[in-house]
Amino acid sequence: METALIKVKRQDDPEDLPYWELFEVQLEPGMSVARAIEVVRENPMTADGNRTAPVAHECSCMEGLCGACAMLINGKARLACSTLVDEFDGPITLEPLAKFPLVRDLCVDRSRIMEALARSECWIPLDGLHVAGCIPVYSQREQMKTSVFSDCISCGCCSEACPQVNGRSAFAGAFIFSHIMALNAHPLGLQSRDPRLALLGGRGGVADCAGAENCESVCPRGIPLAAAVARLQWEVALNSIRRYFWG
Amino acid sequence: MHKASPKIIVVGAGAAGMSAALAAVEEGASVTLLSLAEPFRASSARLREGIAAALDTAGEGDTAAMHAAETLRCGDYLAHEKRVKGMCDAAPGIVELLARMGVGFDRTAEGAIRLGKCGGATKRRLARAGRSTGVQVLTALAGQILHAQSAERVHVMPGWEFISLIIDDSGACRGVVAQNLRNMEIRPLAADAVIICAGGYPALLAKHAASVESDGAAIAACYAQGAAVANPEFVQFSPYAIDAAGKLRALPESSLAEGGSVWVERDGRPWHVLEEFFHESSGLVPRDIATRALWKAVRDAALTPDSRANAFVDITQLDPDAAAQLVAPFLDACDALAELDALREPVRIEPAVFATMGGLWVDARHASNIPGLFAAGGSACQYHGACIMAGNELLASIYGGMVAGRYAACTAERSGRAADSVSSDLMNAAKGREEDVVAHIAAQEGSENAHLIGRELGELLVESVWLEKDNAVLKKALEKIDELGSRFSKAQLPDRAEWANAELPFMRRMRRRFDLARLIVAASLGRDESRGAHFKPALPLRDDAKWHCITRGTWSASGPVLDFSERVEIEAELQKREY
Ligand SMILES: Cc1cc2nc3c(=O)[nH]c(=O)nc-3n(C[C@H](O)[C@H](O)[C@H](O)COP(=O)(O)OP(=O)(O)OC[C@H]3O[C@@H](n4cnc5c(N)ncnc54)[C@H](O)[C@@H]3O)c2cc1C
Ligand code: SF4
Ligand code: SF4
Ligand code: FES
Repeated sequence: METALIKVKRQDDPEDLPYWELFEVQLEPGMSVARAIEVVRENPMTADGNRTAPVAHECSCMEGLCGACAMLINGKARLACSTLVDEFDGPITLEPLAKFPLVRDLCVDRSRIMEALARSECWIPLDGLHVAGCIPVYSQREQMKTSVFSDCISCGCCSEACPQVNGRSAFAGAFIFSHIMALNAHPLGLQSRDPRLALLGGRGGVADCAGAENCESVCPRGIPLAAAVARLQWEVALNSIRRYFWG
Repeated sequence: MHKASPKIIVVGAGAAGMSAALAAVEEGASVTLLSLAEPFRASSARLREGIAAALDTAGEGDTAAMHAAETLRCGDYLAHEKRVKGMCDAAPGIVELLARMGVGFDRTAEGAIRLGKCGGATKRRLARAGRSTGVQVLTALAGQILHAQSAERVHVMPGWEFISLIIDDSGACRGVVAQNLRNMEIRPLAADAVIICAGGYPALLAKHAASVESDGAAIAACYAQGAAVANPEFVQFSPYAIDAAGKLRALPESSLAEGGSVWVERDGRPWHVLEEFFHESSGLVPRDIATRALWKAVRDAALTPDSRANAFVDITQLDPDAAAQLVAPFLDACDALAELDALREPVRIEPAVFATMGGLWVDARHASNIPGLFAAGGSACQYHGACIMAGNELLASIYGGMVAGRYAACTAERSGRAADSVSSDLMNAAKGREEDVVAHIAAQEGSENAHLIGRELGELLVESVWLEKDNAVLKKALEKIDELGSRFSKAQLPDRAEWANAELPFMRRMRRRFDLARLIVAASLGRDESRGAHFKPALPLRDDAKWHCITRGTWSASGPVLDFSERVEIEAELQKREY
């Protein structure tokens, strides 16, 4: 039976040193990387026959919609549940996303994604949960234009790929542009657009993005992040001019 | 005097949990929201079908009353009518609310919400947002939660697993014990009321198309502490699942109504089984009926007695340009990974476990039989009866969540069970019990593998409660569950780490799975009729005289105790379920 070699970068906790372990996995038809990690988890034995601890990793939906399983697969940020093992010829290396604090093995702490959404006020302020009697109306063309930005699964792949996400800046990643684009295009979101743009122009916002466009090439949902960046840079500039003249 | 706001703990940050939290906050509560991971990761993310509401933007004369009548009929009349009506009446307002929160529903030429069709419904009723409604709904709700958190009304605690309830001497729920999944701290948390919104239990069975953590462990924990579980025997199947990378994935059925077709290969030619059998509804029938008909045809069309024919979903007739929008969720589900070009080639399908209709027993206000404990969403049994109509789950999660959140907050003050009056003895005892459980798991010795036993249990359940149930098979399954249970006690904890140990919570969840599995099988055995997704070929008819009742299971040391005394309250005439 055919097997695949999987090399995993392991680390027991944030303070420890990393080490590598090699696993040999029996191939199943159409096996995903996430499934291969599960197989290792069920019987954690290295390729040279040593018992070891199961590999810590995250996954939930197994169909590319929850963003839990993002990791570096042969150096590229991808979803393990949506990457097939037989895509690769040689051994597959798995590493945790490096731009987020490590928890253990392939698990990282992505709470800064939620923090960034909170900082940029990524919500529409409502009067309440009651029936207001008005459904915002817009055309299907507008819907199609914005729905491409409403698809972010908060996986953090874009943060991983971005040269501007580093220890020196507060910028958390391109996902924030996607969320803001979607909200600002919404008839009600439009009303709360200016504060959002002002916040985006501030610390850890659009000013930090140098436009390398690495983010778009790794986004598993195919969100046109480069277009979002360009558009929002322009709007942030306009917004600051507006604020300068009209307060 | 300024009165203290009630403290509510919500377990689960999916559609139901976040709705419950927001409704409780609106009633003045302060909420702690526990979940295994961040809100975006909940299994609600996977829903692609949309949400059902009688918005009637297609001008077909749809009404909330029709939505309710069809929901009851699809569920084979196993839900209380008034509650279903309440939900269907609220549905248009809920879609409006989601739209106000920023969910980008598909639009008609005029800019109104565009509606799709689904099995069991005669009108267009599914509002859908692009290719991934669930992602958008979770993002919108999470935004509202972050807003409430910025006002310090909600405290979000992702990465904390609910493990048990704190129950006082009077039998009331006074809080929960939770474990931090990183530093493994076990912490008791007091509350005025607790709302369980931890999803359903489809992943307890093998061949499921659900998220891996939807194994019902939270329901089982409450069950073991005295909470009743209703209708556990009703398991939903989807006929339209594909095998993608070793995992079943359900295709949205609303896409079929946009010009797709379903057929079984017979003598090398397509046999349009559903359209032939159910021509009046053009083949769009409830999932259980579609699944049984298709899989019977697959057997009948086989060339040899022990082979099977293949079934397909076919959207190749669609114009590719129009399809990009019309069946966007369908194409998303057949993405590159499944290596399917659905527009060019028919997609081979198989049935999968999709959802569960059962859950914690609740009254009209979503209160369980334990005072102070509420439940909603996939964790509660309320609106679906014996079969779920597409789009009603998300609706039920949001509506039920809001009902639970509101009542939990409103009744907290009167209940006289304020969070700050919970004694530290009670808290410490609850914590101590969970520490003992951990010690017990750590002390287990033997050569068994818990993961493999989990898989065997899932397969056993599939064999016994799959599309057709047989009492003899069910009886045997009960014995086998006990066998697996005793094998499990010889499984060793494979990881001793004290930091981010995922195996310990897994073993604890496994322990609980046996209780729930026994309950599903025992209730399947107990209900001697066929109704909705619960089908016994030996007794193929619905028996309203005897079985028009809710199954209610409670835990006992010697196995589940079943009670069938709660009659279903329906004034409408019970029709034959023909489509
Ligand atoms: C493939 C698929 C497609 C679907 N499509 C549709 C559709 O198109 N339309 C529709 O209406 N419905 C659909 N459904 C059903 C729908 O997704 C569910 O009914 C609904 O999402 C349930 O929401 P929930 O909030 O109850 O649970 P979930 O979304 O499952 O959320 C559960 C939450 O509880 C947390 N949790 C679980 N256990 C614990 C614990 N022990 N401690 C702490 N937290 C815990 C989880 O972390 C999560 O946050 C679909 C289901 C599947 C599987
Ligand atoms: S465009 Fe470049 S700098 Fe800007 S977010 Fe994307 S990767 Fe980062
Ligand atoms: S924008 Fe794309 S890559 Fe970034 S978090 Fe969202 S889905 Fe992931
Ligand atoms: S497991 Fe959900 S995206 Fe991979």
